[in-house]
Amino acid sequence: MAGRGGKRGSVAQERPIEESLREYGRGLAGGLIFSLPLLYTMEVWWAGFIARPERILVYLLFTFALLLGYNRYAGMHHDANFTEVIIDSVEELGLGWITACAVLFLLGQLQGGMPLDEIIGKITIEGGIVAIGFSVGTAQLGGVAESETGMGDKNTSKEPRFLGQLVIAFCGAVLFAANVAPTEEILVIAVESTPARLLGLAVASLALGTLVLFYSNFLRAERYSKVETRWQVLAGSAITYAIALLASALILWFFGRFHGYGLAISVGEIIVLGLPASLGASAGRLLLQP
Amino acid sequence: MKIRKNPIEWTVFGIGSVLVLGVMGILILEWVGADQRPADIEVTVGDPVPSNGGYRMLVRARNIGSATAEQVRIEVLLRRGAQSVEQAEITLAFLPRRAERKGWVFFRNDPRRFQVLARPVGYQEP
Repeated sequence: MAGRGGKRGSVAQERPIEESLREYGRGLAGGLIFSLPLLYTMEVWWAGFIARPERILVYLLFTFALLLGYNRYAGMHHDANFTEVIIDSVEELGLGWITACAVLFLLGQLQGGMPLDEIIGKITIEGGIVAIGFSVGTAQLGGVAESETGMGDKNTSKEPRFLGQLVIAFCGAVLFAANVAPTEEILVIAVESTPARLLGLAVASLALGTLVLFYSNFLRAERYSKVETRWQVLAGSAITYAIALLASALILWFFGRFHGYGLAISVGEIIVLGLPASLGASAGRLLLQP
Repeated sequence: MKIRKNPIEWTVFGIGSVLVLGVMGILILEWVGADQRPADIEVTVGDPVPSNGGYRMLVRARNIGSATAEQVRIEVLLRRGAQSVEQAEITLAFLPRRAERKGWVFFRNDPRRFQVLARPVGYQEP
């Protein structure tokens, strides 16, 4: 910490006001960088009034869980205690919604006379992604000096272990995949693809993940995916792809992309979206590290 | 376990909590109170206004159901007795639940001299 540096451990210190404001500024930039494609996508606006309240509620809880996970393992104050992680997440969710509200208003997507549930639906859905961007921006876009002067002990929880890595990979997958998930194109590709082509996509996704994580000397890759044996490479790639597919399925479900389509097409959609998700779970994960 | 937060962070947290709890409350209320009725559309027309040698009329469509309707087709007829004299139609891309959307239809005849019948023809489930 700047200000009253030197003390650590049990003595709790507040961040200076200016530091908080700088964090919010970074959060705003990050929030917009990650969510602007979605704020400019009409399928997402439509989801705001097509999705039923219970689905939006699930989305809201899911976003919050993702925020908690990211803030816990890689957030700006990831060495904070759990109460502080909750407080950070609530702050980011609120700021994300306010930002989404302002941008949607400027884009003419929020107007007087709209029913309350349309307004709430749009803001909750767009704001969720803005909030995750806020969290990532606060943590990742800071200058080196600030982000390195973490609070408390540097040795603890600086490099998240397995569970933390899973959470960060999942966040990366969601952030990348969410940008294309709501578009009609995913469905069109899935419907038109032959099984062989889908298999090709799946293999390409796996290969891409493996390349990024193990063979391209990607930023921070050796630190977070250090391996000794081929087996570990295989396991690491498989787990990454599994996370990508899970994220892909969840997002598609939320946007109602499975509704009325058979299993084959639904699986096709998951694989089609699995490519960007896999990029997010590998490259995204490395970029999102604390 | 002490919480290290400064006043501005507490303020943002306060606003955030109010928003999160408020939105969750509204969503839960809507969820509990929601019926599963399909979209149902109510159409009303305004007074005719002369325009370009013809007439235009405001059409208001309201969704009184509890689901969103897509590609809503609305038809407005001018009738004399059982005979239809002129007909106009608009299509609304979306009509969210409980929302109202407006559109305009054009007629060559003066709608005041006829019986005006406005009705939804159909819609698609999104």
